[in-house]
Amino acid sequence: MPRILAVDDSPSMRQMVGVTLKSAGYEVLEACDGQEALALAKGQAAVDLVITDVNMPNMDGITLVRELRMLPHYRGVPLLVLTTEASTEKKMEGKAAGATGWVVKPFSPDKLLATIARIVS
Amino acid sequence: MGQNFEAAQAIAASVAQMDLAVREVRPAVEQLGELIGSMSAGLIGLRNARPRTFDPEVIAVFPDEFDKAVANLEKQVHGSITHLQFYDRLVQHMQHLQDFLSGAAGELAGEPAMDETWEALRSRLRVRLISAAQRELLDVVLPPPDGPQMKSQQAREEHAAQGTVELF
Repeated sequence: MPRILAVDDSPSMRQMVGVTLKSAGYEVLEACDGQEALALAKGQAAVDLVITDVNMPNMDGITLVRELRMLPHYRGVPLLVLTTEASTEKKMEGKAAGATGWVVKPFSPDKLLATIARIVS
Repeated sequence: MGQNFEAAQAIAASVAQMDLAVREVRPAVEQLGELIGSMSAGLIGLRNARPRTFDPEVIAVFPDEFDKAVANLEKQVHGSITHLQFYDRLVQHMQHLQDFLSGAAGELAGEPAMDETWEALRSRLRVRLISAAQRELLDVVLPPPDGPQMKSQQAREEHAAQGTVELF
C-alpha cells in the first residue's frame, strides 16, 4: 500500500488525517512541522505522497514544499497542501513552490481520499 | 498614559484567558479524536469480519444489510472527522485574535500609537483570518482608515471555499 507523510503541527489534525488515510489502507508517517518532515525526507524516507499544512512553527508548509522539490528523490513525489489558507495569493505561492494541489480545511474524508487515489494511482 | 496602561493590562488578561480556554478544552478534544480513531479501526475490523458464505439465500439478505450498516457507520465517522476539524479552526482563529490583541496591548503600554502601526496590526489580522465571514466582520467593525478594502463579493472570489480541492 502507498505510504503517505502527513505534516501538521496540530496533533488532532494529524490524528484526523491519519485516521482517514489508514481507513483506506494507506501507511502513514507523521511529522509535526516542516523541519521534522524535511529531516525524514533527507533520511531517505521514501513516500508516495506528502500532505502538509501551511502555518507551522520552525518551517512552514510552503518552505517545506520548496525544500522537498530540491531533493532528487522527491522531485516526482506529489505534494498536497492541506490548509485553512484559502487566499488565491497563498495558493499561487504554493503552486510556484512546487505543490501538486491545494485542499482547504476542513476537509471531507471522502473527497480527500478520492483526490489521493487519483494522484497516487 | 495611566488609562492606556490599564487598558493594556485588561487586554493582556483577556488574551491569557483565551489561551487558558483553549488549553482547558484540548484534552477533551484529543480524547474525542482517539474515539473517532477507535471507531474507524473498528470499522476496518468489521469489514474484515464481513460474513462470507456461499449460501445464496444468506448472500441475498444478510451481507447486504451488513454492508449497509457498515457504510452508514463509515459515513458517520467521516462526518465526525470533518466536524472535529472545526476545533482546529477555532483554535487558529483564537490565536490570530490573541496576536492582534497582544499587539494592541503593546501599543497601548508603549509609545503613543501611530496610525501606521494600528493599521499594520489590523492588516495582519485581516490577512490571517481564515474565512470570508471573518474578514467581512472585521471590515464592518474595524474598517481601514481609507474605507473597506474590497467588496464582500470580491473577498469571497479571492478565497477558496472550505473543503475545496484544487489540483495544479
